Amino acid sequence: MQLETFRYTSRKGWDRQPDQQLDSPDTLVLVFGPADLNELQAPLSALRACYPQAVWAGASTAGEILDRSIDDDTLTVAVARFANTGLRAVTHSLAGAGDSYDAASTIARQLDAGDLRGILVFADGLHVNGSELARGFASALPSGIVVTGGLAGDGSRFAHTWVLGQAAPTSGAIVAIGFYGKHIKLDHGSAGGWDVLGIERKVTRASSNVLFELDGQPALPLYRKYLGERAGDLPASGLLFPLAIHSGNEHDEVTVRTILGIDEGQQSITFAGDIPEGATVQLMRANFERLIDGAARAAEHCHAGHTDEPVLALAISCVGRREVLKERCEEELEAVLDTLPPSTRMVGFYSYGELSPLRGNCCDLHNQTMTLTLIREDLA
Amino acid sequence: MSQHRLLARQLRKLGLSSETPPAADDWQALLAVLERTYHDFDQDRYTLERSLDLTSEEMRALHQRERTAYDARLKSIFRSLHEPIWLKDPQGIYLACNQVFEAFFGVLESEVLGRTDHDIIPSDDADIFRQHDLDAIEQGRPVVFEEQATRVADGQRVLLSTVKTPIFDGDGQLIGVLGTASDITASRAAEQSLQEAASVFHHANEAILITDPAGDILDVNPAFTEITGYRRDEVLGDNPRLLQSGLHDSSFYAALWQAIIHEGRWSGEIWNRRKDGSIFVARQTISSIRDEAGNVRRYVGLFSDYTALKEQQLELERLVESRTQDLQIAKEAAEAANRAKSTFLANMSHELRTPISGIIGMISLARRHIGDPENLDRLEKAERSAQHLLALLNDILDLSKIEAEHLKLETLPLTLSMLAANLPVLFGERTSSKGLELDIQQDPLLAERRYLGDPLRLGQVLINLVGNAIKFSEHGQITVTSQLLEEGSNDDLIRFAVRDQGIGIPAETLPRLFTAFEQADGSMTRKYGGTGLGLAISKRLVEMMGGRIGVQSQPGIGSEFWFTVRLRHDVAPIDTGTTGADADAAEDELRRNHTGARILLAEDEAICREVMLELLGEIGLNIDSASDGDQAVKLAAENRYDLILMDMQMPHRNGLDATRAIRAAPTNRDTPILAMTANVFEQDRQACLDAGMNEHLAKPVIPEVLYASLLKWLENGRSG
Repeated sequence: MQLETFRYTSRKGWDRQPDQQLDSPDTLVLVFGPADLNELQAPLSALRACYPQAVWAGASTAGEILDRSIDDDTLTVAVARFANTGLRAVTHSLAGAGDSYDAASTIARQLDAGDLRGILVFADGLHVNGSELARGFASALPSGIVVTGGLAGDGSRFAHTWVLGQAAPTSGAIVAIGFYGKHIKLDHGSAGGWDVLGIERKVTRASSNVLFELDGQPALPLYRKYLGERAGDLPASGLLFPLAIHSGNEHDEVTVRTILGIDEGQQSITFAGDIPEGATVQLMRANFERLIDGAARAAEHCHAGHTDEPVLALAISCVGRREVLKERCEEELEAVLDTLPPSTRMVGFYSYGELSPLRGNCCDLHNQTMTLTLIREDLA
Repeated sequence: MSQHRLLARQLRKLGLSSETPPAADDWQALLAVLERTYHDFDQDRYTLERSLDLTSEEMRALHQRERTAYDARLKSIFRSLHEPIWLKDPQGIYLACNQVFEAFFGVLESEVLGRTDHDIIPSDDADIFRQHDLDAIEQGRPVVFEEQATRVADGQRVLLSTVKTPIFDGDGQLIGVLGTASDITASRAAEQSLQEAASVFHHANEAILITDPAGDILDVNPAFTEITGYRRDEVLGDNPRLLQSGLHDSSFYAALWQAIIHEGRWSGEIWNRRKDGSIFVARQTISSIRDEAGNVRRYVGLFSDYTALKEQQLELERLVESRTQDLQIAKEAAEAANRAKSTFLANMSHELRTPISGIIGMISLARRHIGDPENLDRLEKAERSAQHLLALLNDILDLSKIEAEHLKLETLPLTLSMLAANLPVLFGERTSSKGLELDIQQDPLLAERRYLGDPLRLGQVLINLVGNAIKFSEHGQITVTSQLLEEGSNDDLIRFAVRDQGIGIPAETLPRLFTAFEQADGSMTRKYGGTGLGLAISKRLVEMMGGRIGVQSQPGIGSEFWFTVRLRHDVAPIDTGTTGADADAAEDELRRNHTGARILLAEDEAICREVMLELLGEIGLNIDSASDGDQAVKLAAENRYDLILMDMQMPHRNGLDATRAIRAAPTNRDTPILAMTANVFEQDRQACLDAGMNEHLAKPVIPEVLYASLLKWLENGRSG
C-alpha cells in the first residue's frame, strides 16, 4: 500500500502537492473538511481532478485531524493506493432518520460480496439515527466483517453536515466503502474516558433518539441547571454531559450518548443514538486523564504490532471530547500516535458519533469516544 | 526549569522557543492562547464545581427520599405484624415500637421513644428485659428468652417467648436490639396439661391402651402391664385381640364394635386372658376419639381387673336371691295370715252377728205379741242385753277393722245439719228421762254447707261423745257445737265439741281415756254401761279422717270433748235419704200399695228366716223362701218375683253366685235383689253391686230400714 497524507489551509494552501501517481481504481481518497466549504470548494475540485479514478469518501467535521494536529476549516486528505485490495463505493440518500436501519441494510447488501472484509461508513451527522444505522449493518452482514466510520459533524453549530462519495458533498446521505480481498487488514479500537455523575434517573418519556422526560420531568431543564451560565451554549455545551444508558446486564455496561440538538418547544434533547424508554440513565462527566488514556487504549486495542509498512490510521473522535479537552485536545492525538507504530500516518475528524465493532457486534454506534481504524495491507 | 508539556507544545505550535523572545505577532498569538487557556480553566472549574454541588444536592435529596420511603416501609411492616415488636438502641432507649406493643403495655409510641423500659414498666420486669438485651448484644446473635410481663388492658401476667436480635448497620456497627414476643401463656398451660395427662396415663390404676384407627396398639400404661402381664414393648403394634379369652362368641364382639361405631363407646364386662394364660374379667370401656372432620383417630380402652369384685358381686347376688326368696315366703305368709285374719273377721262378724240378730229379732217379735208387763219387762231387759252385746260386738269388730286397716271411709255428701239432726232423735228420750237438756248449736250458714265425707263414721263419733256426755251427767245441759276453724279453697277445718256438766274426769285418768279397753276404771262400765271402746274407736276414726280428738275436764264441774276434721267441699247437690221419721210411713205405704207383692227370701239361718218372714208377712207380702243358694236360683228360674232378698252366706251356693245365676237367667233379670249381710266391709258391698245386686241391707236388719228399702224398690218396679 502506498500512502500520502496532506492538508490544505486557506492561509498556506497545500502543505504538500498531491501526487497524481497514486491515482488508480484501487486508490482510496479520504477527505475531511468543514460543513461550510466556502473557499475550500476550489481546492476540493482541484483534488478531484488529481484522482479521477480513485474511490472517494469524506465527511464534514467538528475539527480535522492530521497526525498530531487538529484544525478547522481545512481540507485534510489521505490517499492510499492498494496493491491487492478491491474497493467499491456506495452512496445512499436517506429518506429520513427513520430510514437509517433500512439504509444500512441496503448498503450492506449492495456491498456484500464474496471477499468483503470491511466497510468504512460516513453518514450525515444530524439526520441519521446512528444506533439504527449500526443495527442495520449488524443485521444485514455476516459476522466477521468490520464496519467502522463516523457521523459527519458541523463544529459546535449542529446546523448541517455533509458526506461525499463519488459525487459532491451531500447532506442527508450515507457513503460506504467496501474493502475486498484477503490482504486488507482492518484493525480497530475505541475507548471513552467518561465517568457517571450523580444519581440514576429513569427515562420516563423518549422516542427513538429524542429524550423528553427523565423521572417524569422535562429533560432539557435538567441540562440547563447543570450547565448554569453555560446553558446558553446548548447544544454544544451539552457535550459536557453525555448520557450513560445502563444496560442492566450483569456487567453493568453503559452505552454513552452524545447530544446533537435541543428542541425548546418540546423541552427535549436529541441524541446521536436511541434513548430507550424505561432505561436507567445517568449524566456523565469527563475525566481528563482518562480521556487521554482512553485514546491511548484505543490505539492499543488496534494491536498494530511492530511494522515498518505504511499504516493509515483513521481517527474519528467525538466532538464532545474536543469540547472538553479544548486546547489539550491534541494530547489525545499524541497519546494515540505514541502508541501506534512510527510508520503510521493519521487522518480523521471530530464527529457527531463513531461507528466501530463492539462486543461481537460487527458495528456499534459510540459516542464520546476516540475510535481508531487502522488500514493496511498485509502482503504476505 | 522543566516546562509544562502543554506550554512546550503551545510554543512549538506557535513556532516559538523559550529562549528567544517572540515577535509581536507571535507574542499576541501566545497571549491569545494563554487567554483562552485561562478562560477554559475557569469554565472547567465552574462546570466541575457546579456539577459537584448539584449532584451532591441531588444525592442528598435522593437519599432523604429513599430513607423516608425505607422508614415508611419499615414502619408499615412494623405495624402490620400482629405480635409486639420493638427496637431499642444499645443503651436501651426505644427507637421504635408497633401498635401491638402499644396496646399491650398501654402506651403510645410517641411516649415510648427516647425512653427506656424503666420509664414504662415496673422496675423488676425492666431489669430483666435490660439484662436480656445485654445478653443478646454480648452474644451478637438472636437469643430466645422467656419473660413475664403484665398486660395493661386486663392486668394479667402473661408468659412471653421473646426473641432479642442485635441489629447491625452496613458497616457492622450496632444499631440496637430488635425484640419480638409471642404470647405462650396458653401454649405453656397446654403443655402442662399435656404433661399432667401423660402423668395420669402413667400413674392410673386402670389399664389404658391406645390404638390407631386400624386397631394397632400405639401405647399402653404401666397398669396394663400389671394387670395383663404384657410389657409395653411386647404389645406395641399388635392388636388388642391378643387379650381375647375365647370365652365370648363373635356376636359379643360384633355388638361391642357396633356400639363403638354408632355411639362412640362401649362399656361392659369382658373376659380376657393374661399373658400367663390365666383368665380375668375386666370392667372395660372402649371409646373412639374423632378429629374435627369426624374421622376416627384413636381408640382408647380403659379397664380394671374386676375378677375379685366380680366374685363378690356374684356372691352378693346369690345372697340377695336367697333373701328375696325368704322375704317372698314371709310376705306370702304374712299376706296369707292377713287374708286369714280378714276372713276370720268376716266370718266372725257373720257368725257372731247372726245369732245375736236372731236373738234381737225374736225378742222384737215377741214384744209385739206379748202384753203382760212382767214378761214385757223381762223381754226388754233381754233385748237391752242383746243390744248391748251387739254394740260391743260392733265396737270390737270396728276396732279390729281399724286395727287391720280394713276400714274404709266413704266419700258421701253431708251437711253439718244432717249430722246433728240424728242426735235429738237418738237421744231425745234418754236426755229428757234423765232431766238433761240437749242443746245443739249451729251456725246456720255453716250448717247447710255441702261437704263430702263419711256421715256414718262422723255420726258415730258424735253419737259416741254425746252418749258419753249423757251417761256421765246427772243434771244440766249437754251442748253440741260445730265451729269453722279454717276455711280453705278445697276443704274446711271444722271443730266439733260436746260439753257436759257431768261428773268430770280426774286429771290422772285423762291420758288413758282414748286407749282401748281402758275405761276410767272398770267400775265405770259396770256403773254407767257402755262397751269401754267408744273413745278408742272415736279417736281412730277421727285420726283416719285427718283430725285430732281431745278432752278438757274438771271433776265435779263437767267435761268438754272436742275433735277436728277436714271436710272437703262438695258441689254436687245432696241427695238426702230417708230418715227414720219416714219409717212408719214406709210400713203403712207398703201395706197400702204393695200387699201381695211376690218376694223371694233366700236365708239359710232358720231364726233369721223366721224373723224376716214375720216382718214381711205383717205387711201382707207374698213370700217364697229358699234355704240355700241353689234353691233360690231354682225358684227364681220358675217364678217371676217383684223383689228378692238374698242372704250372702249360704251353703251350696252363696248369695253372690246365686245372684249372678239369677241375673243370667231371663226370668228375674231385672228384679231388684237386696243383699242381706252381716258383712259391712266396703269391698263386700262392692262385690254385691258387682254381682248384680241393687242394694245391701246390714244384718241385723232394722225393720224401718227394711221397709224403706222395700218401698223404694217396689215403687221403682211399679213405676219402672
